[in-house]
Amino acid sequence: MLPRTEHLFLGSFFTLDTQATTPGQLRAQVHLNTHHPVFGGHFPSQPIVPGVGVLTMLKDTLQQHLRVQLLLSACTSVKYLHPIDPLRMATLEMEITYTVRQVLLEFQASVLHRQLPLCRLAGCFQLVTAPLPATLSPSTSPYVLDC
Amino acid sequence: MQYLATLAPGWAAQPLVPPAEVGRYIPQQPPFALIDTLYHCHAEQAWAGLLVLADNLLVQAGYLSEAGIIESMAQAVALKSGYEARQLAGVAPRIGFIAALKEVRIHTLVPVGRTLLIQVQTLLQTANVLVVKTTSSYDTIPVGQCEMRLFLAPPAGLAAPAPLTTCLVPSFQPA
Repeated sequence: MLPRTEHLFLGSFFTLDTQATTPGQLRAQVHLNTHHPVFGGHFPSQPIVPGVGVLTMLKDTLQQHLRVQLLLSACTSVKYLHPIDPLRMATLEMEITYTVRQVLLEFQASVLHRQLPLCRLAGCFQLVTAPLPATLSPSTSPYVLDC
Repeated sequence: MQYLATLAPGWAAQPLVPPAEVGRYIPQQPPFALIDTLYHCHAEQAWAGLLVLADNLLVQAGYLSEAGIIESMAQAVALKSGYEARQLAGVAPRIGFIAALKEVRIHTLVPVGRTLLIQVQTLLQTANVLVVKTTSSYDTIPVGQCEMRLFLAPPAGLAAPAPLTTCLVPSFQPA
């Protein structure tokens, strides 16, 4: 059996100070790594946090907090309100509200910098409970969802 | 690639933009380039692709992650826009900032070694706003889809970022 996958961005692209609140609610401070290789290509003239970077930070934060493995299943809406320049906004606030229904984790989240809203997200993850197969072949992929 | 050859034999053999030239059409550059080929393009639709490699920053445990799939679809949109700007209008591509995603669905991940095929369909295009629907697959397996709304930066190139303010942020305005 393969080990659980490491976080994609937690520890490399960003680090976390979690101030967990009540069950179903999570507040965290995100510290961006302004030297991450992503910024060399996004963009060469001006570093900007990629929109999928925000999604990945959200996923990694929830995985870390809940000690589960998640797979993004759907986003009903993601709004990017302001570009995130990591040099000017190295620390972000992330507020997440979530509900677990069987194997789905529904979430709503906001990302802010000193109360300036940057991003609002809503969607759901699937909790990955099946062990990873010994051989990574598409036909035995546990990630195929019946939609 | 066999699937693509079946779909459109000419496309894979003679893409409009091969991997060596993609960097001229999109603002994203290595190591965060997640699209490598433009197969076919017309006004409302385009097809692009990404060969998933193990050293990609958004590949994890042998699969292109959900973030990688979405980013690849976004860069396919950039590639279509960039190709149209350079090849058809002879102007520099304008940087598109993603303002919103809607109805994102991820069905499965893409194993390393497969080619993610992305279809871009333009729903709305004005002077500064682009709304598209993207769908992606590999080997006929549906991978993901989403609708994207992009704001196009002024034609002069990447505008200076808006100064940081503490009031309610206005929408990202052109200069």
